[in-house]
Amino acid sequence: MRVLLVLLLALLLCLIPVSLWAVDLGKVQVNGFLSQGYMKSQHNAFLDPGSKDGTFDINEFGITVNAPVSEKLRVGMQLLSRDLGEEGNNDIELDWAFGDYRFNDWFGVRAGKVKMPIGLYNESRDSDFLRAMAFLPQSIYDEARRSFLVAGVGGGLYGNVALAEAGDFDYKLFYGQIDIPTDTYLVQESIEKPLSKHFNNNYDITLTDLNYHPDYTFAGALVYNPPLEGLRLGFSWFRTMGEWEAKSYGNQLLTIDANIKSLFVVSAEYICPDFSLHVEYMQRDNDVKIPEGTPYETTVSEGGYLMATYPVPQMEGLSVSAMYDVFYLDKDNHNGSSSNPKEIGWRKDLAVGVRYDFNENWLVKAEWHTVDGAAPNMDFYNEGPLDEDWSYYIFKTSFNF
Amino acid sequence: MNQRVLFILVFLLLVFSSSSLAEIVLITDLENPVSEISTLDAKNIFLGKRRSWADGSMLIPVTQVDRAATDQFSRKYLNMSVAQYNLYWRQMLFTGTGLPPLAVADDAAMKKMVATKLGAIGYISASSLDATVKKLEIR
Repeated sequence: MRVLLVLLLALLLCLIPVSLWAVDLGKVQVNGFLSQGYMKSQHNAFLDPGSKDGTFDINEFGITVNAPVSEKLRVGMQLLSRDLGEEGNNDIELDWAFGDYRFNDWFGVRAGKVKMPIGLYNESRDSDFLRAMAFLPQSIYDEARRSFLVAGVGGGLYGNVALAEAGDFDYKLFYGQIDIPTDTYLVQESIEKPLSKHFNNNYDITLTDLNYHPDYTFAGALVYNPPLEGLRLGFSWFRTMGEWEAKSYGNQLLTIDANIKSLFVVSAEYICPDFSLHVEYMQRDNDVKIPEGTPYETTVSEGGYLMATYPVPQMEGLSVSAMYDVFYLDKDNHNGSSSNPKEIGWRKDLAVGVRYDFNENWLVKAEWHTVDGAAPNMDFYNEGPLDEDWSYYIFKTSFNF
Repeated sequence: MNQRVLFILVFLLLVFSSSSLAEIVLITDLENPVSEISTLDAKNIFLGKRRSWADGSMLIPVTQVDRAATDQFSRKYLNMSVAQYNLYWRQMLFTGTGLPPLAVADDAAMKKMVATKLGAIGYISASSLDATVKKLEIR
């Protein structure tokens, strides 16, 4: 029923002239977006246990408010409602909300709920119309772990520093906390199942409850803009620490440390009117300690992608994209022999897609992915054995004003 | 013969490409002491990274709703198509990291806006240039 409502609303919005939607309340700007997709996968379920039968559970609605209070002070917020398989279910959440005081070009401060500057695109990951394909590359912008990475409450610094003829660089620093909601699918799926299923160990414990207590999160990003127009080179680093308080049968309390000790992303982007190229590489150190007092188990994952987009000059609004995205759960073991099942040890996704922008407010996308391997976390979505070779396709439409 | 044809074609290409790039000029208000800026400055101003003039006064970039004019401007100064430029600002808007510049309808509205708003900077076609605004030279 919700899906039907979403589709009807999308149709209605597409039929109404855009000028009627743009809202400008004096200096306050109200903007919004919505998207609706359809995904079908073959052989394995992907991000939705029901994706093999085809799913409409891919949508996002957002309302964004930006208000300049003075020349230097600005406040803003975004409400987001999203659905992706068992995630979100179109509950309304505060996506970001912060005050921003910019002292000068090279120094500003932000405080509130802030998107994490991971890679070049994590901050804009919820706005479908900002990217070429339906999802950002999963090696870095893993949708299953969105809640772990998307935004934190705290404060940060940012600015743009000019380097004369050598270009300039942007920097962002954040310190605060990320609170991982317990209704996240990965968390819910960790309950009522033996820990050994997901943590690749021999712990004979089944959890009945799981709650997260955040400690701290740090994120920093540096983006160099050299004199070559359209080129950006970035480096970002992220750490989030906290404790999971778990209960097992018999009400036994258990503390689990499962932290992202270090996540770094090296990025390069080149955009010119004729094409764009995007390449990023990441390494993530996951620390798991179960239960308290035992040594940490560290897994270092790695991944990266190359994506190219070509706007077709003969047809304005049409662009084609191709992407190759690779992820390894254990960077020292690419064949999955240290993973159980072995298929969750790697993933190689080759994709092609087309996007057509009818105008600046409305677009459609279609894409096809052929995938080797089932990392990361696809065992959470599939009850039976995983297939090494699988595929999926997506149709999606987005509207923004 | 073939070399001549090739030479003429290359020449025509250079002439047309340079003439099409020369049609857009940057303008500011008459009271602004600044008379020239670099391409890098222009880029950073219209990407929202530079927000004040050298004397610390507020910089107000103004763009045009006219798609053709903005496309010419963004290709010349930003190495972006108008679609890429608009997407850049939508990204800033929907992540709360910046507000797009003011936008006016066309050259006439741009001249009126820039002439009356101290610290404003905008772009018009060279043929629309008159004494109400000051052309900014590119150094």
